[in-house]
Amino acid sequence: MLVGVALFSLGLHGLLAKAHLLHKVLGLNVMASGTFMVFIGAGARVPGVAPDPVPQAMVLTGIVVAVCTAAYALALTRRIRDVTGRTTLPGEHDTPPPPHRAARDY
Amino acid sequence: MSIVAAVFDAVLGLMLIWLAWRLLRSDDLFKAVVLFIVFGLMVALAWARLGSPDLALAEAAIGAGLTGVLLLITLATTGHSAYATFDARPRVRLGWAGRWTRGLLVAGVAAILATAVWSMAEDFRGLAPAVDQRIAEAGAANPVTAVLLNFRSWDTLLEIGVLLLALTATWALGGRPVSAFPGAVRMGGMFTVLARFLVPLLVLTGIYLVWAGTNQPGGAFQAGTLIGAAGIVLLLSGLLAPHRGHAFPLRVLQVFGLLVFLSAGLAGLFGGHFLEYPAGQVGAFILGVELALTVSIAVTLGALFFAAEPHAARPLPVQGRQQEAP
Repeated sequence: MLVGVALFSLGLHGLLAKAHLLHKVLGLNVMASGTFMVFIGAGARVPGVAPDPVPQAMVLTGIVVAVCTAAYALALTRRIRDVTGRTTLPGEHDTPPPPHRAARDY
Repeated sequence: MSIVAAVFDAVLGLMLIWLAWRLLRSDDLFKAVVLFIVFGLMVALAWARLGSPDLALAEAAIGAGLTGVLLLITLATTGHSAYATFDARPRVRLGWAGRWTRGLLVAGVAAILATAVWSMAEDFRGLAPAVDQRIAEAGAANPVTAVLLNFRSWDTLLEIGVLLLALTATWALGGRPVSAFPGAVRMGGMFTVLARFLVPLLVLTGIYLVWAGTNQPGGAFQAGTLIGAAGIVLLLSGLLAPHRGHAFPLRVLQVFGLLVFLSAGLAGLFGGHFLEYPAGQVGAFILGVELALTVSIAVTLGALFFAAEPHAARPLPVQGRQQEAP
């Protein structure tokens, strides 16, 4: 469970410290894994006894919701890249994108 | 617990933290994504060690596999500029005060969480006894399936809703279909040969997983992801080219699972409450709902990968393009 706490905190730091949106998605997913780890760890603490199925079912739901969130966040990232030519949020990192290749058409 | 098992668990835990640290620190995004996939597989291993084979299957298929593929395709389609070729160097710019605030915030959250986890009751057994007590009535011998599709079926019903919502929101963004990016897909050649072997195998494994899911580890989500992956392989290999004609049947299949689940829930209204299956036929109801869910999950996940509506041949206009192009 302490591993879960560590993962959650690392993910939170990544989310706040990295400007690249893809890295933020990675941070969010690591945070989710940490949360799940705490949950399952809490349900499986007594050795030798079958683990609690309720948190398992909830985490299974959580994994699916996490991939939905990730897919939507990545679609937003692609859209932001199409519209602004960059993969960071405005104001967080202020180097202008190179104008000649940023808006390249596929 | 034997010493070997304890050492293995400790190494696994440390490795998870180390992988998370490396992937979040990495300035090379491609490396970060690959590390993330490895991280996902390690998490799956951790679930197996924690006695949750259902989760291990789901994590390997969804957490590592599908999320990894989505990340790679986004990297391939957004990373090809001089500005961002796999480069994640941009960090959030903050003064020293901002950095300290951020550090303290993260450390504070970590400390509070650690205290909360540490102070949990030792002998707490959670809801496992309650589930054990009524598992015989649940219509599924696998306790996780019983919780998902009977005791807490509301969660699962809404989860399918979330899946549809994510797809609707992604479609609303009107992105270009993934197949419109040259180089990103249409792998052809060897991959097509591989796909011919891979697709039937994936579908077969998926069908087995949903069939076994009521009594053994497995179930609609794991199976749906595998079959969805088969669809993605078909798209990548060029064996299946989406076109306008697919749009309507796809939509029908995507809402099919939700509709079957809802009508099964409504059928319960005759005997008692919403989502309360008639006694004696619970097993059949659960299997029916699981099969319908598998189909919808497979099609929805495949569509999420593809990103754009099949009939949206023309992408939404991009504002600000004129100012950027010299």
